[in-house]
Amino acid sequence: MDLRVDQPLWLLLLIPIGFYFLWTWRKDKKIFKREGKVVFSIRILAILCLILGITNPYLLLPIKEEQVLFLVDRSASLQGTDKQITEWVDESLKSKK
Amino acid sequence: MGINQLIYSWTAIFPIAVLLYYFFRKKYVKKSVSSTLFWQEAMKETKASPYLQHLQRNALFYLQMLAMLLLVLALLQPYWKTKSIAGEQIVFVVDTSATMKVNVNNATSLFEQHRSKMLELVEELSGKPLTLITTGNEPVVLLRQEKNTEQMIKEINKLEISYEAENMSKSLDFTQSFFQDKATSVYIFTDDLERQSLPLQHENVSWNVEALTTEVTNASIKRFGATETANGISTLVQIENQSEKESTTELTISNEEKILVTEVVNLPPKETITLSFDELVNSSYLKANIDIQDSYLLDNENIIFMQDQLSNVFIDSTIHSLVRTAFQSLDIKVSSVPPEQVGLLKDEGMMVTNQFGVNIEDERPILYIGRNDAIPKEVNGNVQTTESPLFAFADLRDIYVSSVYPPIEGYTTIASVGDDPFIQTSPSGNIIILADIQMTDWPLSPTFPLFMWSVKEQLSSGSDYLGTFTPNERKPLSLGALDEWEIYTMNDEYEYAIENGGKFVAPNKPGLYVLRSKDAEKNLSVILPQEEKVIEKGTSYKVNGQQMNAEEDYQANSFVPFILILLILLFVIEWEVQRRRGFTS
Repeated sequence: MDLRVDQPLWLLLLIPIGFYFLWTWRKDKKIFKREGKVVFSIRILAILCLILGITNPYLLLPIKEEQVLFLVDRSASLQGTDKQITEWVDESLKSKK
Repeated sequence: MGINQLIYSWTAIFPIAVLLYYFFRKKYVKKSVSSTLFWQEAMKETKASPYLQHLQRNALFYLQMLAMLLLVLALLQPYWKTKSIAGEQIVFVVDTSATMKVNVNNATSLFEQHRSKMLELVEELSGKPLTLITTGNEPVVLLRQEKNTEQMIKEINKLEISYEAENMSKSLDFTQSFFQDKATSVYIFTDDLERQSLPLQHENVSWNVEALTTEVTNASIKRFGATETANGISTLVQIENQSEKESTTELTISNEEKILVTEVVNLPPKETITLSFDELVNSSYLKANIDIQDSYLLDNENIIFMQDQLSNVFIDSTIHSLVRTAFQSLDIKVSSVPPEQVGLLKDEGMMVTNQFGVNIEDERPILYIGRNDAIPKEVNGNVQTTESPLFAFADLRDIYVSSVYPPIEGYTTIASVGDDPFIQTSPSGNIIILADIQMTDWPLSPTFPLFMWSVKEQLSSGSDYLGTFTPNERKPLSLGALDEWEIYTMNDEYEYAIENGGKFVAPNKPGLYVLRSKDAEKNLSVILPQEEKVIEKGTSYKVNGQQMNAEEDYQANSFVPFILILLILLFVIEWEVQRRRGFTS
């Protein structure tokens, strides 16, 4: 399992926004009451989510299915084995999920 | 324009809730005026630019409402439409033959032009799976139902010309196996493809042929041949002018050292002229070149080697006819020679005989089967072989041999029955099988023709020329099973290595090559297939299957990322406003 983003360049937006919030934090740290701190963290969380949203993230899950190909030799030397082959293929198709 | 997820419109209750919340807030702001003297001023203040003040005071409200509305909009996933390729899946068939190298606008080749067209189309795929097939003797699937655009662009940029003939019908057959009853758009990138050669029986397939649409000029060396005569080399050159205009060019024939012939040739439109030159200096190879600035440069040069491969096999008519059959089954030209003429034959070729005593011309490679000058003795035992390239493809262990002739002194034994020698090689390279074919059950075994083939390859490889190949031609060569061989160009540039002769694949670019192993060197040449020397202007067209409506398909482009960027900006501004205002109220 893998988490990937389509357009990682948008993550660069984090830099100026990060600086801005750091600056406001330094400036207003003292006058923030408890309420202010909560609002501050919610705001940062919201903006992080939005930036992640622009980068178009997706999960890569391994495919557990397999493609099965049947190659049937129908040359003259195998004449008369048609029925056997069909039965064999039918039999294998039964175990198909 | 449209909306993807109308269900999310319920989230509109959030901004409405916020709006209602603001309704219940107190309308007036308490303001204490410290003195009646300031009352007038304060009243004036409220009346000056009421809108701006209103905005200022309610900035947070407006920003919050806007942010919420945008969030609701983003959840609805609005999009706008652009045109896209029709069908559930797209298949690109890319002609990689040599003719794609033709120049269309002086600078760019047709192949490059097609490449940019492909990249353009990839942008219009809108998430539909793409299958990319290149033509050639063995069509190759480079992308199978690929949905990742980056991967597609990577593969398209990696495409290269393979120089072999396109074998379009083969590729089209191959392409059809990918349809699986899905609506499919097939794009064929080639130079010229007739409508008749498309398999049009599929109802839900549309065919788009991208062809060479500009007028091109081309002169080509169609054939170039040379034979050694008593007075030097005679050559024959055939030059074809495929364009409508008459042109003049300079033909030069040169060998490895210097130019032998220069002649100014006048080429009438749409005609082929034949020139011959005699008494040229003996050389190891000859190169013909026409100096003309036409659209297609690859066919302006042709190279031939003077040492030719042995192509004939002469068989003594007293030898068992199964030997002859074995050679014939390998597509080798076989001639019968009466026993009394074996020593007199002058033509070039390999000899198969049992007349061991007869003095045959020194140069000629010989395979002796049995000896007519000795009496065989009965033997018992299994056949054992040494490691020789002759047995690389033919395992002789299961063969029964009833009797053998006495061995020859000084010859190297490479296979024996029990303790008695069975197959020997002479110091000059000739091969002797010390038994008549009738004394063995060998012809019953599949190794028999394979051994004959190895013998012929071995005897003819006395020369250091392997022959002429078409680009990417696969041909088993009897080079010795154990050595690794490296292929170089004439300028000593390394191309690739092959493990043994059985896996030989010719290089793709026309020209001269050298095959090297530890102690041997062999030449080979790669030439354009004849059909790749002709270039014709084609037409681009489109054939739609009955159930395909090509104009209907559109691609949806989402607005969401833009809304998200706007939202981030809003959130930051809102924070700034809130910060300045403080959190108390």
